[in-house]
Amino acid sequence: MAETVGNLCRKMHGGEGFDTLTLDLFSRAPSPAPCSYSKPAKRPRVDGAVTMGKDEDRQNPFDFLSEEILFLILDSLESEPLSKKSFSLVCRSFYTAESCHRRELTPLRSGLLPAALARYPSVEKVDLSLCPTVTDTVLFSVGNCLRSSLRSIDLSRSKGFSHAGIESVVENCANLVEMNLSNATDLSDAAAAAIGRARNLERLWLARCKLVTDMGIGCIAVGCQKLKLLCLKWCLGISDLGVALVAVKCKQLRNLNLSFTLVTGAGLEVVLQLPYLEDLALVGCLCIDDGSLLSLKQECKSLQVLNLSNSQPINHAGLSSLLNITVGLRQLNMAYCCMVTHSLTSSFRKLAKLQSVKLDGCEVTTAGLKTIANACVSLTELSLRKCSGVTDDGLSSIVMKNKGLTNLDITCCGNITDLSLANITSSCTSLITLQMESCTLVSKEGFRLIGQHCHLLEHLDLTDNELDDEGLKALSGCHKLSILKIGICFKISDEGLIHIAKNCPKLRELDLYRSAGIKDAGIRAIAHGCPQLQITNLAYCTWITDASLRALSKCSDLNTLEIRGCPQVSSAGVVAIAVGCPKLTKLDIKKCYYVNDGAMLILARFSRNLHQINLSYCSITNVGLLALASVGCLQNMTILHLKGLTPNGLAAALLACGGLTKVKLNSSFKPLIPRPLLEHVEERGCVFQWIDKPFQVELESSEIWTKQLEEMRA
Amino acid sequence: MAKMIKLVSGDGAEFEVEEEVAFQSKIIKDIVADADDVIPLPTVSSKVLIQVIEYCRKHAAVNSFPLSPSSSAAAAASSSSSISYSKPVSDPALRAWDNEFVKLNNSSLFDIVIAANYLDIEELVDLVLETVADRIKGKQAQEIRRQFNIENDFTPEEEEALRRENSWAFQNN
Repeated sequence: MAETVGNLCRKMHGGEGFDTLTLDLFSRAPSPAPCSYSKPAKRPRVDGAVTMGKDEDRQNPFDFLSEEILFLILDSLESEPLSKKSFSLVCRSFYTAESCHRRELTPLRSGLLPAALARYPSVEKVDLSLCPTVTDTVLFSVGNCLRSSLRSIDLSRSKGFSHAGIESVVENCANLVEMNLSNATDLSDAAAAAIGRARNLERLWLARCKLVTDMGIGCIAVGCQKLKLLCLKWCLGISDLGVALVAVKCKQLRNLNLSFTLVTGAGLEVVLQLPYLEDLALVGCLCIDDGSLLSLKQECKSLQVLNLSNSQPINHAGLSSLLNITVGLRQLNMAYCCMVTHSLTSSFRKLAKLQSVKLDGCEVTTAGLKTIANACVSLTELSLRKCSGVTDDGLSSIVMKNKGLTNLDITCCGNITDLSLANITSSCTSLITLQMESCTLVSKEGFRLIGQHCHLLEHLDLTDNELDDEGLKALSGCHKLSILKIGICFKISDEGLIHIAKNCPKLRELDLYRSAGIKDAGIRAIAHGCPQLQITNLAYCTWITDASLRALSKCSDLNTLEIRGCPQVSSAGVVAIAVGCPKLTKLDIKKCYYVNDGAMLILARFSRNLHQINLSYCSITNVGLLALASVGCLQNMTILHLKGLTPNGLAAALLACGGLTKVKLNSSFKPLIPRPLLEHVEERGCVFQWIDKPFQVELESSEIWTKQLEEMRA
Repeated sequence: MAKMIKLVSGDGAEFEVEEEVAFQSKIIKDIVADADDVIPLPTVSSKVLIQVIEYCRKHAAVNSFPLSPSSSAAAAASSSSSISYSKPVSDPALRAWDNEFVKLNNSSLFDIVIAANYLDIEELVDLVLETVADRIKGKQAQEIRRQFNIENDFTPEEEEALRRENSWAFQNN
């Protein structure tokens, strides 16, 4: 095995030596001293030097470029972070330029932050969402190192800090404009008081900060008068009083989220008096009832976006009163609210600028839909996702009146037939997004019409439909297709897929989950015709072999690959992907029984961006898992039923992989791993999910699975 | 008869160009506004100046005789916006010409970008830097060094420590 792997490495050109792999596994991993590479460059800074062409090939041509031009080059590498990292490794002057240029930092571990901050003194945004544990000490160093450079900090996934840490950041960083403290369930009013001292704060998220009360919010309202965005989702400690304080003091607010709070109609009344409010979210505000909305008088002319989803108490009378004063509304979301009847939707008539309506999960009546058709003629977005009661009649009347529709979601509207499709395609030729999962009554005629008329289509979801090869051929007329989801389409095969491959070069996402008729020829065609492919799902497409993976390895932008349940795939295929797709971030090879340690060694070597992997049922042993543990950014691992894994091997891998945040594994391991080790890993920020699933010997065949699905539906 | 501007390169050669061609350079435009028709450019060699003038001549012709309303609108928009790498030249024929123009070796490219930066010809700076960036994209450090003939002034230990820092210190963003 080692020999084959070694041969493979020798064949790769441009790769560094294989021996660094073992070094990484056992490296002493404490945070290094601040880097000494940022000595001043020995490059002369000459602007516009006379270049007379002597010995041109010998000199470093970059020597004559000013730092300004190096920064411009780095600007244009913005979309290629791996290239920027390579750039910084080239020579000292490049390293310095990159260090001064970087504005955004997302450390993988808070322990490495001091070194990172020393290297990058001009960072404006620090995103700590990958560091599960952030102590006050870490926040002190952030504040001290970055001072007035820091403008934005994200602590929404971190725990372990207190108001002291926040205070230090706020005091040292006068230019702080954006702070995300969501999920800080321990934070109390003391922290809120500290936040209130950030005078320049414009955007603040405090979702789930349940201990903050009206007092704390009051401090923020009084202190942060420049606030434009405030998220108080799930802040159960806040009442109408706190909300009113915010509404009175923070006059600049554009965006306010009060979802799942206890705000009532009284608080809402004050909020609607904000002069510049554009976006208001009141999801799940169960204390706002119909009655309290009837007394609203003062107009809120600036409001454009309103989200009332999951607000069951609101009915047509209350809504009518609310829409009376919010006549400038462009987007209305009433998902999972009341029944959509004629009386409810007749108040839509007041909204001349209405462009987007979402009614997901509601029970709709045909009369209600027809009233929407009469009331709204400039809709661009309509969602009837999982609505019951959607008929051809109701849907058709809306689409025929709203020819400018670009986004339509009729997922699970199981009664829709070709008739609706005929009306949609003839009327809404500017459609960009069409989601029709489980519209099983639509036949090939419907798909033919889509391909014939909707040439601007970019996102198409036909999961679980009666799509066949003829339909795919027709759909390939949509040359701009970027996202195509055709999973659970049992009638499609390579023949149809090849048309897509030939005609849709902009494809970025392809979902073929359980569309088991697809084989290597189809995937080869896709890989060849769609070089921009980023996300591919081939789960349970049992005919797929390594040949498909070798073809997909040419798609260098591939970041997500799911091939679970493809038993013909072996290590060779996975290796090809690892080498050819450096941006690989998520990999699911569950039940690819023949993938073994060799693939893991190569993945560890080449997939420097791997965040998430599912290896369940693969032939991985301790060696393979330990190799994988050297991938510094690996966060999420699912390792059920790994044949060759022993408790010692698992323990070593858990220790070595410092970035883990979530591990799903067999509960049988729990008593076999020393308790202190588990606690240590958990303290590092990792969450264990202990699963009791028995080993499933056979792959469920499509027939059995379909039968189960039908039983579920009946 | 179009007004002519005289440009004098660093090695003393003189080049007469039409006003509209020379005005692709904002610096020249400003200088001429102060009533000066002979402009010395001591920091730009003849070889580079010839190439820059060629570019300006091609782009001036397109800007004054737009092939379609959209391309002139794009030209108008691009002259007032700041440098951004996401705005392509709208006319495909011109883009093809640009792509041929930048098929030069690295040091020639750098000569041109330094001159274009000095003369403040935004589009030309963008074009060259995008080409340079393309030659960097997707490459490992050693490949970049080989491509641009840059000496590696890190010690092996420093390089290895840096490489490790890059891989586990922070996210790719």
